[in-house]
Amino acid sequence: MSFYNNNQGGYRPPPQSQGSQYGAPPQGYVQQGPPPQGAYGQPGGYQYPPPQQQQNRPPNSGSAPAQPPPGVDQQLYFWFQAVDTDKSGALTTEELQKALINGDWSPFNIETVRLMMNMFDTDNSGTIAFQEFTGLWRYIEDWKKCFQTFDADGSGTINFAELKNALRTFGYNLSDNFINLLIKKYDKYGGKNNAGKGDVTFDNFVQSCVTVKTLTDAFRRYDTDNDGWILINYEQFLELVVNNR
Amino acid sequence: MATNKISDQQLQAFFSRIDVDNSGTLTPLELQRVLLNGDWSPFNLDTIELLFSLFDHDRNGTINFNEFIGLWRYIEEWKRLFTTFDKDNSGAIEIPELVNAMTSFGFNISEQMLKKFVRKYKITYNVGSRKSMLNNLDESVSFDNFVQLCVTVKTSADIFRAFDQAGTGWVKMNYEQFMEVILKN
Repeated sequence: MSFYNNNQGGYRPPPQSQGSQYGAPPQGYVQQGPPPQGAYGQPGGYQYPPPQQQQNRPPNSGSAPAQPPPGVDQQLYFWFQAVDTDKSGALTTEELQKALINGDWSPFNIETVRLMMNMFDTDNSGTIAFQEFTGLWRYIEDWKKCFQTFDADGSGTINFAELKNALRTFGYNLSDNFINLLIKKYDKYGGKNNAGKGDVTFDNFVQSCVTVKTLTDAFRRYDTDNDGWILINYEQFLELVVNNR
Repeated sequence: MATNKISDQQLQAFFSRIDVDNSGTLTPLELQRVLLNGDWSPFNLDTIELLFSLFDHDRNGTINFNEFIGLWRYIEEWKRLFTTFDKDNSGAIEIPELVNAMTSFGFNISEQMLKKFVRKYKITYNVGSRKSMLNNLDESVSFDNFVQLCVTVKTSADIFRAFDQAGTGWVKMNYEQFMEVILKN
């Protein structure tokens, strides 16, 4: 399915296994409803390359042929090429960051881009090839739907009550104090002069949820007797801190 | 990178040259331009951020000259340590050198774990911009990542000790404590 059709055709198929493996929310919560209207996580500000331009591209202009390989999503392939500004055939963190825009038009923060790079750079090349990119794209689309579900007031950001609801829905039982901490850490306008409104944008919503999932998984690995308490030594503690970077 | 200690007066001249827009303060990007690793690559921005978190005392997002003096002395001190442990003068700290450094700082961290950290830091902070560094992922650490790693090791040890009142080397924590302490660091 082409993502151009999103606004006419409705949802992609429900999130597949990739999602739950990487901290995507549990399945089945996505409400059926009108197709997404907003631009969260879409390369909105970037502008999709107009299709006609692609068709008008002069043949044999010196660069590699722009035809997508058979069997791939054409529009996604063209978009990938437009983001790949140095035409290396793979996206760097910087290229990807420039192309990913939040609902408020701010670019994704670099940490979220890295987080996704780490998940989908399966060959550890440090860059994202087209095949890896299709997975990453699906992941962002799934999160976008999730974000819109929990953005109850349609403000384009997730506030305390909405985040609390989201985390509870995902099955995490965390105190208000912790959720406040989470928002404080990820409210991108919160750092300077406390100008933040106490909410998080799309990129940071994804990061908060993935962080909670990653840390909870780490905790469970140590909590072998399942009593809610763990015993760890310094090296284990340090490893947990470093891994959360 | 300057290895010799320079006077405050020289620092003033240096500061003016770095401050290309003559604003009297340095932005992270202005600072990044003059902070170089042993292989002449610029410091990664995360290390610049770390330095700002330590020296931008008025939290206005820039470094004035007084803050800069502190920052520069701090880097000189790290540079001195780095050079001490970089026995083969390669401009990077290889794993045996890193083991040696941690031991002399009083931290007992296994070689296997240090290799993991070095790899993690390299992948996290240098992807894309410094592809050459991605070779030999877990064999050596650049100056900027060395500083970051040491600072993390130190602050983690302080937090751990606060939990480990009895000094047993083990701490017990519940889910909420765990989530909070890791999130804050």
